[in-house]
Amino acid sequence: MSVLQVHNAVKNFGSLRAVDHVSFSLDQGDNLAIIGESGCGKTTLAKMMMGLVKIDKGLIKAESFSVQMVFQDPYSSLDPLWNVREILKEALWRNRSLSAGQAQEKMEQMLSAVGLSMGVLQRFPHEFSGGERQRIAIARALLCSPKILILDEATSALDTLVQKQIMDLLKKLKQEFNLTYIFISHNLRLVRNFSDKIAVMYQGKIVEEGQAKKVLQSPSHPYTRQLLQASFYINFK
Amino acid sequence: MKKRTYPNSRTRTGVDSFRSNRLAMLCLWGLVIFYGLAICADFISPYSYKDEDRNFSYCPPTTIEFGDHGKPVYPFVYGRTLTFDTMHRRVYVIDKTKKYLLRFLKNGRLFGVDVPGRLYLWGADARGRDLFSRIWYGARISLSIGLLGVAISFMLGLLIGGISGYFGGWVDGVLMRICEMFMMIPGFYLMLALRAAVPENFNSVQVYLSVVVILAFIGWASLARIIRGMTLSLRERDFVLAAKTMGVPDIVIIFKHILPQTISYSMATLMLTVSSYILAEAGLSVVGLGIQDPVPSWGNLLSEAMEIVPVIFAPWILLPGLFIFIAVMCFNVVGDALRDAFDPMFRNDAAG
Repeated sequence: MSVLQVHNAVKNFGSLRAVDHVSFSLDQGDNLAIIGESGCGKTTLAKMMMGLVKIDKGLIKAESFSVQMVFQDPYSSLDPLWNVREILKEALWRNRSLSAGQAQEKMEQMLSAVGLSMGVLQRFPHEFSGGERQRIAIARALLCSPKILILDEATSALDTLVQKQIMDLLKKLKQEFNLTYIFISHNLRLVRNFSDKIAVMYQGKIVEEGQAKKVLQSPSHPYTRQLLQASFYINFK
Repeated sequence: MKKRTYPNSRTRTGVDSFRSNRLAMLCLWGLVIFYGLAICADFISPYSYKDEDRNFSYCPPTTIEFGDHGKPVYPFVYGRTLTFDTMHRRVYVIDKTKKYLLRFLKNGRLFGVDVPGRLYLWGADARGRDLFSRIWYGARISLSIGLLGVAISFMLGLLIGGISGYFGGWVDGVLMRICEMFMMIPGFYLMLALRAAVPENFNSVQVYLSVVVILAFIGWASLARIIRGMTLSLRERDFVLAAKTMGVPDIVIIFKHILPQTISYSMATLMLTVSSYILAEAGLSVVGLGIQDPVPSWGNLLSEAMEIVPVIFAPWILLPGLFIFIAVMCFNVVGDALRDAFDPMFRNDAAG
């Protein structure tokens, strides 16, 4: 069952074509990785899927509010003046009719799902480490009960050990909430262990798409090969 | 062991940095005392602001005597008689045969003397009204008018700046052009023009409120522009984007996410604006367009000192000017200190 369809989506910033006729579709439970260098249009594409950036041409079809996003920088994705309770409560905005008790129950469930204790509710974002903050951001995104979760470089700002913990958490949550992931990254190593499908973006276009194993083992586009070489060069040196 | 909780550590650094500024703390206490005395004007002043005695026109300050022929006695004041010298100028001669004891807590006032004695701590004005009392009654008007005016400017500035910066596009264009129109006209002329539009038959309360509105009108535009600039950068922050994707309406985002981030900056600007409003009210009142006699404000008290002759013979009528000076200076020092204490925080914030 298709949960998201992107059809020939185009976005221009002045004379720059940030996203150039991108098409793909996602089924429930898919785990797609979009990789590419900085400035290739990954984040713009993500924002288009979220409805934060208007599409110039083409079509993006998804159920409204079914897409949520976890941002790259957990330091700026949480309002520094709000405590965790307020932050999580905001995610229940469309469920304002919930009683205080029900809301509290939902927040507590979600916190335990991401591995945080109830005690964090009273605390402010600056009191947490980067990994904890990212857990809060994930909890907030999931409280909106999305079908699709976009992870925009969601682990890039974290050190490797915390990175692994968050990746494991995301795998667990995918099962638990039957989610579809779009994992945006430039880190091939993470993608290899995490995603089933890979789409490679280069200068606004998707230049290669397919099963993760196939793309990584026998890349067909020269840019993908270059990317793999660079990555392996770093890995084995 | 935390004694107090602040929303974040930067607020705490700001508060600490402000507290360590001794001059600013002094000025803050000065303002607290001024406002305290203004609120208690009915109690601390010996006379009402309209209590006049034409026989004591420009009577010089009375000294309170604590001793009689070297012996300490209950404090009292001597009576005075009005005579004229050869140039037909008023001279008040101290009449040592009449003594009026100082009375405390009589008629609901802190101190005073029995009639027909008069107590003029800081001298009298042309109609024999006590300047000390009138200064504290005037403080009520002068100090509150700035705050009220700023409160209105502040709301307008935050709302219009926030909306303008958040939505951008043609909304921004229209609102900012309106702001520029207000900023283009020299403030004092704008004030005069607006004052001319106020009906003449207003009573003192209505005049007071119209002056508040006029002051608010001249100051909101510059604040709106600053808030707009901040909002432009804040609306791209991830927590704002996150709120948008969760279906939170724009107006709620502006009020709950964006404007609170600008508060620490605008508080400092506010203090500086209050002082400019106090000056603006004084300017309006000095030329006779502000608060009308007999209700005193520091501005219209000073308008008596516009002619040189009274100033030469009764220099104490310049005193309200000193009070304007002190109040404005205190607001400026506190405002500057607030900015120093909180602005670095904001810059860090915007960069992160």
